[in-house]
Amino acid sequence: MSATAESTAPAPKRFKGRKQFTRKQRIIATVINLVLFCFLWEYGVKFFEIKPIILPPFSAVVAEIPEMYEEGILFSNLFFSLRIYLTGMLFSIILSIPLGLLLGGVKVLDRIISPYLWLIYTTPLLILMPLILLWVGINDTARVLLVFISAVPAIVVVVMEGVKTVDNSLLRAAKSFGARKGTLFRKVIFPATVPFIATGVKMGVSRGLIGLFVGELFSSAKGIGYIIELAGKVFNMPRVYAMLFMFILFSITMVGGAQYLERRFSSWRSQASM
Amino acid sequence: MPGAEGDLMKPESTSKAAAISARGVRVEYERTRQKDKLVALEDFSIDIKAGEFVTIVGPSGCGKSTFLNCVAGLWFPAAGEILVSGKQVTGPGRDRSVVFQDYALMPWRTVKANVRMGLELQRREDDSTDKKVAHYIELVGLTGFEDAYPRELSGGMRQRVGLARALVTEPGILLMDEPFAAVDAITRELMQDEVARIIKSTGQTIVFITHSVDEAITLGDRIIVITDRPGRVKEILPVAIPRPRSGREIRHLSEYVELRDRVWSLLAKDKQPAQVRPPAETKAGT
Amino acid sequence: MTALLSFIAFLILWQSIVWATGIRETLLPSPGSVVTSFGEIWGEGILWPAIVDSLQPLFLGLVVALVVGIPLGLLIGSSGWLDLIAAPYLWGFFATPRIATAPVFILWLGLGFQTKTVLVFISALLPVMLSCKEGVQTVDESLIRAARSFGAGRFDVFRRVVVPYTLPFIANGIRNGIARGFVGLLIIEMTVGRGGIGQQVIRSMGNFDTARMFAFTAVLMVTALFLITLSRKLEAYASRWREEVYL
Repeated sequence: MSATAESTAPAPKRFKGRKQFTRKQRIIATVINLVLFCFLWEYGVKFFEIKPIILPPFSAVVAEIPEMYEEGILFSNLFFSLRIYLTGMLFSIILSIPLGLLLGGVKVLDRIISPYLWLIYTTPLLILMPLILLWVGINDTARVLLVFISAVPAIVVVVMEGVKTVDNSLLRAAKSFGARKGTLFRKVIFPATVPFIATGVKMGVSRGLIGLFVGELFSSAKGIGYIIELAGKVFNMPRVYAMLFMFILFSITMVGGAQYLERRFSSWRSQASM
Repeated sequence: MPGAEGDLMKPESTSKAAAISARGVRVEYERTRQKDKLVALEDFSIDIKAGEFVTIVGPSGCGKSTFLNCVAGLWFPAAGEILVSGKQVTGPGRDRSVVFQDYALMPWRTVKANVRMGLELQRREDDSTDKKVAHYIELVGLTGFEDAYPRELSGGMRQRVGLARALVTEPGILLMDEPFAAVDAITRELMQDEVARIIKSTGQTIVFITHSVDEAITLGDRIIVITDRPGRVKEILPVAIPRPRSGREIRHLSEYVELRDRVWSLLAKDKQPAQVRPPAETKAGT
Repeated sequence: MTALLSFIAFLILWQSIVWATGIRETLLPSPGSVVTSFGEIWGEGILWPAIVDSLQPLFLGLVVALVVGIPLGLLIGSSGWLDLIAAPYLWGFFATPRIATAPVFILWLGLGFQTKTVLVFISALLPVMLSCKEGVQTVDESLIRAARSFGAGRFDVFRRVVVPYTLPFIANGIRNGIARGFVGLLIIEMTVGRGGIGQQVIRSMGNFDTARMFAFTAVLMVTALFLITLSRKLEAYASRWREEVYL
């Protein structure tokens, strides 16, 4: 009576909803995806007879990497860009976190400085870039500065918000135990703000990348942008793509790393941070 | 109580009240991460008469909501069958409406628009729709709030919207999944009285899931006690207390106290000691 | 009004620095000379065409990005499979500043009006798609269940639950798209040229006419801020029924 009834009735419409994949499945799928992409690139270019000046085949692009290595320019330039980026990011983090905490905590400072901060944050970096190049010149300092200026507002804004949103009830609870301002800060506000700091750094990381590349584009002495520009001038497209690809890898690593850190430090938050 | 409109509605609704029948139902959930199957209900069989108000109690995770979802047609048993008015359930339908624990109101719609939504989705809008919507908004006691948004309403009010939405499609069966769990204790009692009043005028078959034994006794014609996972029908207890019942008034009746004891002992036997809440109210005194 | 006072204070500070340090005009022009410059470019008829040259590809690129990106984003968000396939590419392109692709575009398309529009399109497409996708994927399950309990099919659920729920996300995507599209526009203008305010900035810089450079930069800033504020207001309006506060 029970098992047979199902077979005679019309099949129920199952509403599956969106399919969920496990982590392992996602990783496998991504790998297959990328491999497929490489194949398509390689043979699609040959099949559609796309001029190599527009899109060189995958193999040519990949071949450039060992070639650049041979020429001794691959790692030196990569590291150069990396150095500039990390220097800029380091300074920006060192400045932004205390600044953000300060602005979030002290209302007066917030009111005075925030509008300018917001201005720098919202204005696309490219608008400010000519001014920086004008004053600092076209050199490495300018490039570090660009990374710095891109990252700082992003981090500060997020950290500020973090301080402001520290749950008032937490503060009240701590104060009721007689905590003084310093202790209050150390034991309540700061730990609560850590996830925001992590998020802020993540945002700073991606903003900093933008600053890095703007710098590369306009004041390239050494670095990824330098190679791209050089290669572009002689229309060495495979090299342009190869370096571009390196940059993409670089970006993904940085942002991915920052995201990982963000998640680690936000583990106690039930809501997913952005 | 219900005005002229309510009387007009009544004959239509009672004739639609449907019977529910479950036979040997087994429901499974797949857990992708642990790669196993969770059996929510096992060999679950029950007969609910048309127009009956049935309350279901059981420990957490015993499959109560699962049964409701199956009757609603939102989930399907792996074995066994569920019949409504003698026909097997193959999906959601106009004869069944659900009231959800978390209200599930569309935040971008006003109260009026939310109540209409069921009729919209069922493509049953016509000239009488506006009147029907107004009638049920009035019935649940939300006149004046037609143009309010869910975020402007309290929990109890939101649940009333949910109730109105479920009623406006005039289903033969009303499925209520712990509708008052998220509402504060005082409002909860008031809403129980409200539901009893409203249901009296609409006369549908009602399946009401609750955690609260008191609620189950106050509202139900029969109480179905379900075992811990995998859920099975443990016992069915008829509630002999005459209606109308107000939770506050019937609490001292001996039938009430006996029923309460019985249900509690049934539930307690199932659970591990740590999970059993000592009864909040004492039996002694008024 | 504190903003206005603040601005005036800023101007006074600026002028004071110029007077006090006697700095070269080419390094830091006085507010006065910037204003004069502004009058010049207006009078010479350079300003307006530059603005048009910038805004035209911007709007065109944005519109196409919306027309293509919104449906695409919604689609990818709705399908687990599409999401899986598209994920690495979306991610790779999102993490990388669009600026990186600029040299390639410059070389690809040669010089023409289309270059700017295409780069605006590419720059704006991604944020739009990503936001739409995210919107679809975060729809509250219980709302979908409620709709289904009334017998709503896939299309109905999409139309009556998913789309309204996603509108704030779409608006968010538009806001980001405008910002990134603007950047894409400027990249071309500041490197290759092809008209527009950005080009004028670089040109005046090359002529050591810093006052004019400031004037054009100010125009850029105002335009950027105006667009971004507008899109923020749009986003706030679209999100008015949402209860949570977002960053």
